[in-house]
Formats: sequence, C-alpha cells, structure tokens
Amino acid sequence: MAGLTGVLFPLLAASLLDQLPGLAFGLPLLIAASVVFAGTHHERPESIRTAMLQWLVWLGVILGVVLAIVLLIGIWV
Amino acid sequence: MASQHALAGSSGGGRIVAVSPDDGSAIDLKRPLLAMLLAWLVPGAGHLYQGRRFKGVLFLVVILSVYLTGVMLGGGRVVYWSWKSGEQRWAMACQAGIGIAAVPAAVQSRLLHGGGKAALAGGFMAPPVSLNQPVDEDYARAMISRSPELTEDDFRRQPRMRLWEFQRDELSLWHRQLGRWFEIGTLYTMIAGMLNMLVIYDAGFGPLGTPSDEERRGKAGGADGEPLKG
Repeated sequence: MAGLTGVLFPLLAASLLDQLPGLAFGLPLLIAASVVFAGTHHERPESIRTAMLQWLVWLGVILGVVLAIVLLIGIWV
Repeated sequence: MASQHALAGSSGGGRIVAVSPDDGSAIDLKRPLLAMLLAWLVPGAGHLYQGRRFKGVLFLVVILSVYLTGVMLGGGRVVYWSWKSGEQRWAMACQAGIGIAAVPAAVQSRLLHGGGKAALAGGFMAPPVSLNQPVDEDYARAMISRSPELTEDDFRRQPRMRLWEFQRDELSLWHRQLGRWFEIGTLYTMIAGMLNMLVIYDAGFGPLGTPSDEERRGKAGGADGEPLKG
C-alpha cells in the first residue's frame, strides 16, 4: 500500500502540475459560479458572502476529486 | 423547495412576493415576467428593477466579466450563431443565456447568410465562412485584412458578380490561430450564459434557498412589516 501510494502520489502531483494552466483558468470560473450560486440561494449580502465561501469549498472539493479521478484514470490507462 | 414556491406565488396586497431564506422577510418581485426578461437581456437588470441592488450589481459584474473575458480570450470569435447542417454551433444554446450581449451573433449570422452575404463590424461575432460559401467582395477583403494567412487566391471570383467563393474553411483557420484559447473562450462564454439562467430564475421566483421552518414561523413578516399570506 505504501509503495503504491509512493508511486501514485508523485505521478498524480506531476499530472496536476501539468494541468496548472488549465487550473489557473478554471479558478475564476469556480469563483464566479460560487458567487452566482450563493447569490441565487440567499438574499442578504452577509449571507451571500458566507455562502460564497461555502460554495467555493464545496465546488473546489467536488471538482478537485473529479479531476484527481480523471488524472488517475489517465495514469492507469 | 415546494413550500417556498407556494409562498412565492402568493401575494401581499396585490404584490407577488418570495420569501428570503435568510430571515423569512418578503421579497417584492414586482412583475416577475418583466424582471426575467430584463435579467435575460442584461444580467442583474431584473434584480435592479426589483430594487435588489446588491444582487443586481453583483450578478452584472460577475457574469459580464466572465462573458467578456471569454470573448477576449477567444479573440472575439467564440460567440457566433450557426445552424447550418453539419456546422451547428451548440455552444450558442448556453451562450444565448447572456441575452443582449449575444444578440449581435444572431444578426451577423442572418446578414452573412442572407442576400447581402456580408456581416457588419469586420465580422465581429459572425459565423465562420465555410468552404465554397459565397461572400460579398468587400467582406472577403475584410477577411483578408484581419487574417494574415488569407490572400485573394483563397477566393474564387464569380464572373460579373460581387460575390467571391471562399476556398478554405475559416473555422479550421480560427482553431489553428487561437489554439486552446478558442476552447477556453467558448467555455467561459458558455458558463456565463448558464449562470445567467440561474439569475433569471432568481429574478422570477426568488432565491432557491429554502427558509427553515423556524424562520418561516417566527419571522414571516414582509420587508415593510406586512405579514405574508398563504
């Protein structure tokens, strides 16, 4: 297990670094989506600000996991 | 969600209101259909019309920024309207959500495929010219001037007519010139359009968030102090 992690993690990190330009252009979209999602679920400015951060974390985690899975599949296949 | 929609459809003194999920107060939607139309035309305009200034300005800035960034990254080529067989631009289905900012694409497509065979403003938001497609002589010269790869030899002149037939595929040319920026620009403009669809919904029906039962019971007072009915 440790050996597998030791091989997979550097490969995943390298694949992630390779995707950096794409990630950099994806971040503004993530922020914009978080703002709009928060804005369409709340009315008060304070609530929108808080919800924006929550949406940012949620979307970041979900898309991050999807990206990691896609990269792992890319490494295996 | 269902309870919120039921409340959103109710009226307080002839007004159509939604319930704020934050404090249970009433949100005056004024004329929801007009607000939705305005929200489609200009992101955030529906909210500004309803007096929801913070959200209106927020949506206006965020969505238009994403859209304009996409148009800029894609060299002004990524938003175009084309439903010709085999050349459908499906991205437009999402991009059209941005409203008036995507309307020039429909106008340009109509002009280029219509009798004049030429688009305005040097072809901004015009669909790409395909193989053997006839274009007006002036438009052909405009294409040559904006693309260093094109020359008059790439067109076949029709005798005694002002129409020139394009002998290449302009979309391939754009892909080669813009590379990945074409896809990134397309993605940005599509996401801007889709986000605005959520904003349109919010303008017509109120926030998607559901107030808790406690908020609904305890604070069901209107923004101006009037209790909600229904």
